[in-house]
Amino acid sequence: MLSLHLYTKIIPGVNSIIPRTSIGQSFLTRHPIQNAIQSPLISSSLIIQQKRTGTAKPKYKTPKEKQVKTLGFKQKKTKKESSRDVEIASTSSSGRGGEEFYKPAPDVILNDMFPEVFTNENVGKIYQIPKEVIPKFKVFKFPMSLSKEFELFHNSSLVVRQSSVELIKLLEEASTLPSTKNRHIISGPLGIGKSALLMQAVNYAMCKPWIVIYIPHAVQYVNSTSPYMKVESTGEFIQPTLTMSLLQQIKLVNEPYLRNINLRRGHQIHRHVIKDKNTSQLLEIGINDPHSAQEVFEIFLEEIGNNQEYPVLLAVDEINAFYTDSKYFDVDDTLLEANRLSLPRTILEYFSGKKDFTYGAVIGALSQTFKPFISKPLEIALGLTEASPWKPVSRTILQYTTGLQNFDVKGYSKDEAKAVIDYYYEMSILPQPKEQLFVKHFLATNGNPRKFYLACWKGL
Amino acid sequence: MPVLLLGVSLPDKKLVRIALTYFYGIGHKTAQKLCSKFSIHDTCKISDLTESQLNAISLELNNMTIESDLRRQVRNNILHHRAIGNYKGKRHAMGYPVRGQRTSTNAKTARKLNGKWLKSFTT
Repeated sequence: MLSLHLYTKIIPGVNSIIPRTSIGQSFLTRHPIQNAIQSPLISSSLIIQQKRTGTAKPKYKTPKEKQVKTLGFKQKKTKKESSRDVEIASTSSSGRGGEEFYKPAPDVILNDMFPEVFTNENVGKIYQIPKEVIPKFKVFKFPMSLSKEFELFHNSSLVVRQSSVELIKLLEEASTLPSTKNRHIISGPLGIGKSALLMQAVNYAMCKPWIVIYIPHAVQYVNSTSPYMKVESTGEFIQPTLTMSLLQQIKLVNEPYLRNINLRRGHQIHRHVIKDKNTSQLLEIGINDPHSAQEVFEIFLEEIGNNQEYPVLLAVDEINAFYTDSKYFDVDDTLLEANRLSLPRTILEYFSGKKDFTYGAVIGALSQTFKPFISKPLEIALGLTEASPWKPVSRTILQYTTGLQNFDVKGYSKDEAKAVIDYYYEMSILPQPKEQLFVKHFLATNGNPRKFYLACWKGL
Repeated sequence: MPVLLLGVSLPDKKLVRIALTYFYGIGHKTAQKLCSKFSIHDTCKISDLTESQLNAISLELNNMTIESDLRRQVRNNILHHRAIGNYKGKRHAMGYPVRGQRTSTNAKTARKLNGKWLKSFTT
């Protein structure tokens, strides 16, 4: 089962969300025979070659290659899998290969970032993401810039800031209110910590029994990297493989809660008749049949929206990608807006308040790393920029921005920056003692978290 | 395994919108138009296409003038100039620049390329 998943390039089989420490070993011990055949062949032929030197060019023995071919497909498969398993094992425990050449990472003990931690007294302290939640994040994948930082430090840790305490307060209120009242967009300049804040919110929801749908990289939905096709009846474009992978991720992370939610009414999607099932089985239908995945997703959101046991968090990083033109083309060679694609459109409906969850919140974070996907209409709606009288703004995009609340993020305060630089010093990425550098770095970067991190790590 | 389409083999690993430019008469613009007509995303490789998509593409390509049809058209245009004996025809025949460029220096491209349509006529 594990091998099938890995070979068809879907996310690695996280059948139960328990971190595995020695995947590579267990797999190799399961297939000892093939490995035993492989190694003596190669070593014996190498010895023979060494003895034969005297001719200018050593000749390679073809019989050896033929034998490898006959064992062939299966062996290659196991090679790929074992190397991938080793990779997964090594990336989960360490962050980079070639560990013999680097000093071991310093062991810093941090407290776990549980929901109780977000109080005003704890502002300026660093916590790590709890062990139980890390596999869930691995399914959804970290945002890009943060994943590099976590690999460097070998643990995923974030600092609790004043803005994160405020954001968590909003989430706490949201657990008893419908999601139309809790639609926030985290905004701010480049590198100010929007993705990190969203991660903290998602972490809060994952620790509590919320249902979490987290999209760390919304740009991949609109940058024309996944197949799409037109649906004649609605005139929209569905993305089967993308929807299928999203459903898989949701199912893996929220499995225990979804089993308890039963569907309120029967549905029919193409040739699937769905009656008396729970939402987890509904997702399975979508995963097995990519062409119905889009409708399954819409029905799924409706059903979890109706349930009153678990609040729902829909968190999308780089949400501005959904509020602009995508890189996809229509049949007549015109650029498609992102709301013409079905999957972004369903998510936008929850952001605009047209549909809602009974209890829950919808949070997005802007991102300025991808310049083609910066959204002028969204920034105008949030009040961040003025509308230019010379350039018209698309109305179809503006209709999805009604009622969004802006959540502005400022830079580090002095206490937060001090805590962060202490942490960098303990993790030994800071080259010199901290007292000399703190004021210099803080003033030069004006408290911008990313610039501060780069300044501490690589120097100004 | 390369895919054979209308006499041109398209390598498997190439992106579809680049591989379509391998046809004589299709450049980047028309390749992009073809891809958008059949809803093929930017990063789709030839190996990802289904049979029905390939058939649809080859049907569409049959309706366009490419490859030998185009070459025949271009050759006929030049032979027409030669046949009526005008200035352009003479320049094509001599392998000199046709569009009024200088010949005392710099006529290399014309010397390289301008005679070839007529050479195949003579043989």
